[in-house]
Amino acid sequence: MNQKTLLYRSDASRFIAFPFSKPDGRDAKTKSSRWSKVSSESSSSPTNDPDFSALPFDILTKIAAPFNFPNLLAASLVCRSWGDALRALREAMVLLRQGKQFKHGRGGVGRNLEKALVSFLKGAARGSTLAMVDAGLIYWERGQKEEAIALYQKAAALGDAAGQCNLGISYLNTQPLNHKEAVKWLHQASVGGHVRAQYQLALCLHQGLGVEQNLQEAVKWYLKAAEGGYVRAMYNASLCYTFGEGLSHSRRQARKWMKRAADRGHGKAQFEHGLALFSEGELLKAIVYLELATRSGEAAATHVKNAILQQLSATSRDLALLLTDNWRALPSSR
Amino acid sequence: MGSTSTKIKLRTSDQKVFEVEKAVAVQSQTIKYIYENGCPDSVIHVHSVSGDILSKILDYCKKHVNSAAGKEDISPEELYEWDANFVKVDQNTLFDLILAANCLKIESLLDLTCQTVANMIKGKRPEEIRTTFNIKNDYTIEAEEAVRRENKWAFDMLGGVGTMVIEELADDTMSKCVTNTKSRVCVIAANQIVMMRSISKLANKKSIDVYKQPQNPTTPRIKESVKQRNVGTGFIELFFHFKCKM
Repeated sequence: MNQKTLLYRSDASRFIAFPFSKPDGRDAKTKSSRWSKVSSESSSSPTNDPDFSALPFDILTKIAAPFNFPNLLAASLVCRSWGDALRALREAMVLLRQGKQFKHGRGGVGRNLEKALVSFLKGAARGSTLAMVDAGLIYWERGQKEEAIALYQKAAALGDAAGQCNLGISYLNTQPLNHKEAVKWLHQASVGGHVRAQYQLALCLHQGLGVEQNLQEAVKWYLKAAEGGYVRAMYNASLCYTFGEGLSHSRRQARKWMKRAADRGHGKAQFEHGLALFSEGELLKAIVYLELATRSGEAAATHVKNAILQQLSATSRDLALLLTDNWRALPSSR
Repeated sequence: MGSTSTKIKLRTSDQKVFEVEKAVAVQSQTIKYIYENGCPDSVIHVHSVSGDILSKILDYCKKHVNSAAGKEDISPEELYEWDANFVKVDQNTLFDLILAANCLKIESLLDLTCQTVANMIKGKRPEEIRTTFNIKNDYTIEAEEAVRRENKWAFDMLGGVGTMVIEELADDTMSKCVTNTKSRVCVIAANQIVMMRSISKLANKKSIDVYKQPQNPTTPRIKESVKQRNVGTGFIELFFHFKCKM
């Protein structure tokens, strides 16, 4: 065996978590707590420098719980003790990948939600919040909402933005409704940059659910989510600019966001944008958007579209149809 | 004397004594346990925490107790700001805070400090993490390879998990795309699929980063929205959407 594996820098600080002789809840710690069994001669580490390599394993696991794989791997490669501490989480990543394969039927395996759930739960047991969130999703789809919420709570407590977002949304959707808690978690996820959470938070602020109605804040979050690519937020932001809610009127900004939402497939936005184009005299483009809106299910668009079609020649109509058929939505973050 | 004005004495490792309200002190589950099961009258020793750290911790606990009880008029956003400023400390203090919050079992403080450290780790390469935290690399080359090898499958699974460098993407062409696995990449720019190209292995590139316009050496790498679709064993179509450099 390589002699070097024994030369850990062990610090007394690693055992600092047991200052009192009284038993505490630490005995019931989960499997993810691994303590280094190797005690070598303690090197005299300078008392003033914090030795981050000697962070206790369970703290490291907690820190790295919401990491995706690249971050986890980078953290594991920092130093040996971190690598050891994070081994359980790396195993969780393998299980996560397995679970995703079962869920979507990739990599040569058939779609199997039960096996997916089993894999995700194993990953969650090893401490990965990504696995917890995925397991929660499967429970939610099955209708087992309590189990889903329990998993989301665990993930949210560990700082996972997706877990916090899902937890907030589930508080808005299950009985008994708990708007205050929902807003609290949505706010945390939003600050963490989660786009969907930002949109939901904006909705709550807009409607005054769980928090005082605040149009300026709502618009601020709509815009953040819209910049992040969330289509519905773009539509709402456009409406806010149109009606001057929470900020000053700006036809230009309203048009800009409506167009963006329309380009990404939002039915109502396509309708509005089509109307705006028509009012500017851009008949061909207007028809394309109105046709798209009709296909998305906007009944009102049909009437306007037919009215405009009368004004076009046959070749223009064909061209419009061709353009619509070839149209592809721009990617968005849903 | 109502129980609200009960005071608890805490003695730190450097023999400083702090007297605090019970409500503040029992934010720490450890202290709460000892107080309720041990000796409520005499002083509770907190061996592992020094005076400075304990005083900071007590500030934190007091702030949170007061805001929860409504004694202080502070909104959740303001409390959040206060917390963010609380952890803007030097590394010594941060490290001590983590360990102290862990042994005193103050869950919210532990969450806060762990999040802070997590944010300092995310998005960095191992070397950068070591520099940030002043950690010595004690991996042998074999050991490091072993860790990478055990997770080799992850290198092959880009998109949403890995990161990609696409340098100098002009409007209609993709000049360079580098990866160390076989992948087909679809780049969508301005709603047009510009190029599909199969990419072969390139030595020495271990990680690949997407730079979002404008590229600034000081901003951290930002990953654009990436969607991935498996089109057969070993091949993944990756869709990137980002503004083009012109």
